[in-house]
This record gives sequence, structure tokens and C-alpha cells, in this order.
Amino acid sequence: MTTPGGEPRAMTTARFEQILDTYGSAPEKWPAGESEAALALAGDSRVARELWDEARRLDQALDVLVAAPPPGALVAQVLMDAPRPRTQRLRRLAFGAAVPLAAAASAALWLLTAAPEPTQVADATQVGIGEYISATDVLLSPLAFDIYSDLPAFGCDASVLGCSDFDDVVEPQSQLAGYSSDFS
Amino acid sequence: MRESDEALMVRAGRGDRSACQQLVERHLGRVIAFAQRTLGSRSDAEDVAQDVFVRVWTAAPRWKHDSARFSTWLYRVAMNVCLDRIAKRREVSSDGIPEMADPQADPSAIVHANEVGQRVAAALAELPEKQRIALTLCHYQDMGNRDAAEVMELSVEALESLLARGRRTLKERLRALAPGTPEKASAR
Repeated sequence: MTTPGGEPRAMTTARFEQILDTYGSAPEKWPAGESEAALALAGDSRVARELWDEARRLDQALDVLVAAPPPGALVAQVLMDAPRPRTQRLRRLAFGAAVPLAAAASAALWLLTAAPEPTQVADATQVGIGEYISATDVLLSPLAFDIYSDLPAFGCDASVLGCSDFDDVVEPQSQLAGYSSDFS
Repeated sequence: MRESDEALMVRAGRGDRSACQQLVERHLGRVIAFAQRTLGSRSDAEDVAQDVFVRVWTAAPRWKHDSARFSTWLYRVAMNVCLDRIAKRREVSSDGIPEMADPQADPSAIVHANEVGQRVAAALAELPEKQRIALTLCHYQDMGNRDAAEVMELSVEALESLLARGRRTLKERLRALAPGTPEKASAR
């Protein structure tokens, strides 16, 4: 620290103590403009020397705390997280995409080759048309019920009212007639 | 000539393994040490360091030569991760769960197993966190006051005030250690 005229300002014990508290005991860390005056004071003043000794002891005590070097496993882990070269990254991406694609292709191939031949449950083509009677045919067959002959007559039969003469109405042919003699 | 951290970051962003390795060699141990002194726990410090490096690798591809100084940026990230941890610890403590430290699980206990080391560690741990961080950056990480102030996003005057208050408190707490304080450790 200098005076406005550029002369080194006289170092006081208070300022010397402040420098020690702020920058520590090593003169190379003291402000360049003040270190010379501070050293001069320490040469002349017993109090300043005691303050300096105390600051040195504090620095030495602090230096006792030494951190152990990083363990190898941590170094390896940190490096594993580090960015990879672009080509390596692309290769990793391609590999990452190729694995599921290959798995899907293998699965598809396996399904195609391992699927069993469909077994023929009935020789349907050998059944002639008309020979095969389905369940529906049986249910619809008029074995016991003729809808036309069994229905009750209803309506008017007076000719004066313009009613049809039911006697003249040709009864629809029973559906039985359409069937072969097997059913009659 | 030693390649700058910033140039290594640019190469690391392109996936250059040797650049990544050099960054790890240069800074992993120092980040662990910083976090250990800030948090007072080795295992937490290793977790923090791993977290910090994940952020380094994430930032690397976007890193430009004219970006901030790498070490300033790195310690700011480390400091913020440490402060997050301290805040979470406070939340846990305020929930009534006591904070447990397992000395067996802390390899640093081997390093400062002597009484002086333990007292220094305890005194440092009792400092307010900003004073502790300021002292750690300037004393242990060998950072200049201007750089340390930049890491902490403070003015140089504010940083120097933190340093002075921290040192004065430590001096009072460690006065009993004088004279004949211990063997000086070789590495920082």
C-alpha cells in the first residue's frame, strides 16, 4: 500500500496482523505493495514477530489435514462416465439398435419354422353336396308341425262384406309336400 | 508444454479419452480434498466428486476455448454441490434424525489420526460454511484471492473479510496447540 505520493505507507502492527489473517503466513501471498514494509516491521518489532509465528503455526496446523488420493475404483467410475468418441458412440448406438432387431428377426423365424402343420379334422371335400345334413336342417325339418294346416282360421267369411271366400282359397301347399318321401 | 485445462475440456468434449484422463488426474483428487474439507466426510466428498465430474462431462461437448476458466468453473460447481449437501443435511437434522459419522468408514481418519489433525478438522468444521470454503480455496487449493472470490461470486473485499474472520477464529480455537505443532504434511 502506498501513499498518494507513491511512497510505501508505514506498516502498523494492526495492518500486519490483518495481512496475516487475510493472506496467511507466507510472504509471497501478501499484497506486493505491502510485503516489503511488512517484512521490515517483522524485523524490528517483537510483537510483529510473535504474530507472524502464530500465523505460521496456524498454517502448519492446517497443513496436517491431508486428503487421501482418490481410490482407483472411483477414478475408473469417473472415466467410465466420460464422453466417448463419436464413432464409438455411433457404434454403441448401432449395437443398441441391432440387438432388439436381431432378437425380433430370430423370434419371427422361429415362429415360422416351428409352427406345426395344420391337422385335417375332417375330410370335408369328400362329403357330397346333399349328403351332409347340418344341425340346422334337422331343426327346420317339419317332422311334427305343419304351420299351414295347424293354424286356426280367423277373420270374416261373409261374402256380402267383401270378404274372401276362404273355401276358395287354395290352401298353400304344405311344406311337407316339398320333401321327399323320407319325411312323409 | 502443459496443455491447459480449457484445451483439454474441448478435446474431452469430442470424446478424447486421453484428455478425459488428464482432467481426472489433475482435478479429481483436488475436488475430493475440497469437498472433504468443506463437508468433513470422505464418503460424501467422493460422492460429490463423482457428481461434479458427471457435470464436467456433460458440459464438455459445449465447452468453448473462450469459456470461463476451467478451475474457477469446476470449483464453483463443486462448491454448489457441497452447499446442496449441507442444506440437505440441515433438513435431515431438523427432522430430528441425528447426523451420524462413521469413523471406520472414513479413510481420512487414517490420514489425520493424530490428535492435532482431529482438532484442526473439528475447528474447521465448526466454522461457518462460507469462511470454511474461503479458507479451503485459498489455503488448500492454493487459489489467489481474486480467483477464490470469483468462485464464490463475491467481491475480493468480501472474500478477504471471510478469510480474516475464519483465520482469527481458528487461531483462537487452536491456540492450545502451540508451540510445537505437528509435523507438516507433504501433500495438499
